[in-house]
Amino acid sequence: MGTSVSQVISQVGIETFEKLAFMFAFPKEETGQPVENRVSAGVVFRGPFSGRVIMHVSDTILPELAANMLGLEDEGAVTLDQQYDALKETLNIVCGNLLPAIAGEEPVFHVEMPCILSGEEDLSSAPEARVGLELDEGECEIALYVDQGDLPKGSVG
Amino acid sequence: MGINLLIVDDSSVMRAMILKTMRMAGLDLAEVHEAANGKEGLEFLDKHWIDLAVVDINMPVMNGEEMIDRMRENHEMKDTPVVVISTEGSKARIESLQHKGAVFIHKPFSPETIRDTVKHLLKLEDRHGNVG
Repeated sequence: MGTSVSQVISQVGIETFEKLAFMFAFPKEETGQPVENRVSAGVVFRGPFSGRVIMHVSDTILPELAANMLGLEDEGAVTLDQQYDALKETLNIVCGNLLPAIAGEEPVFHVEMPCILSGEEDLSSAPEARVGLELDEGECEIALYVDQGDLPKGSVG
Repeated sequence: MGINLLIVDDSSVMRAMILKTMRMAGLDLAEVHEAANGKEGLEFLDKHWIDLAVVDINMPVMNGEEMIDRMRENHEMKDTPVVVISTEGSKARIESLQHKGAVFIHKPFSPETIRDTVKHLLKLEDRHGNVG
């Protein structure tokens, strides 16, 4: 039986938090509720299928994420710019690892620069897949939107 | 003799993380310089000599691949060792970078991967006297 896209997103998200910032994340049951007090980032990709990966995290996650990436003991020393930079880099790594996990290593994707979203973006279209993760410091949601083309049929990876 | 290093990445957090990881890996670093894109990196290399460039690919202004192309065309920089640290997942693009003489490390990375890659690339001895 093939792995679902949601399972792949979940796995990539968990591994990225762990390897990048020594933060442990666990799959969260789908409640349909948006992440509270969230900061969002998005990245656009183009290739055999094109779209966006959007990541929403509780704002309480960001100080530890940035401090751990920077190797700082004191989360209070982390600036807001560094927190946003850490989120964008985390999303960049999630997207960069997600696409070959879904499509394999042969296709070439062009990934644009990740950016922080203001919250007013039109996300009315339904994502191809969406997963929630739970961390000690808050929640994270990762959603894959496909605007053009189709995901590979059957098993992924 | 420590390694004179240039880190080229548009993310200041990632530059700091690469530096922290290289120190954690026990690499002997001398001067460490940073640039936020390929253009800034080339401008620095035009005036300074380094042992190793660590370069991201996806950057604004000038990406890492173009920076490496320009380095390879320049007599002074063409042999400078380059490690690419990127999320790139396409086999063809990774092979293209390798053909340009760059060694590829995938993000997220471990201190051990960085240590082993840099030691091998710079032919540094480990503490047992073995050349990487």
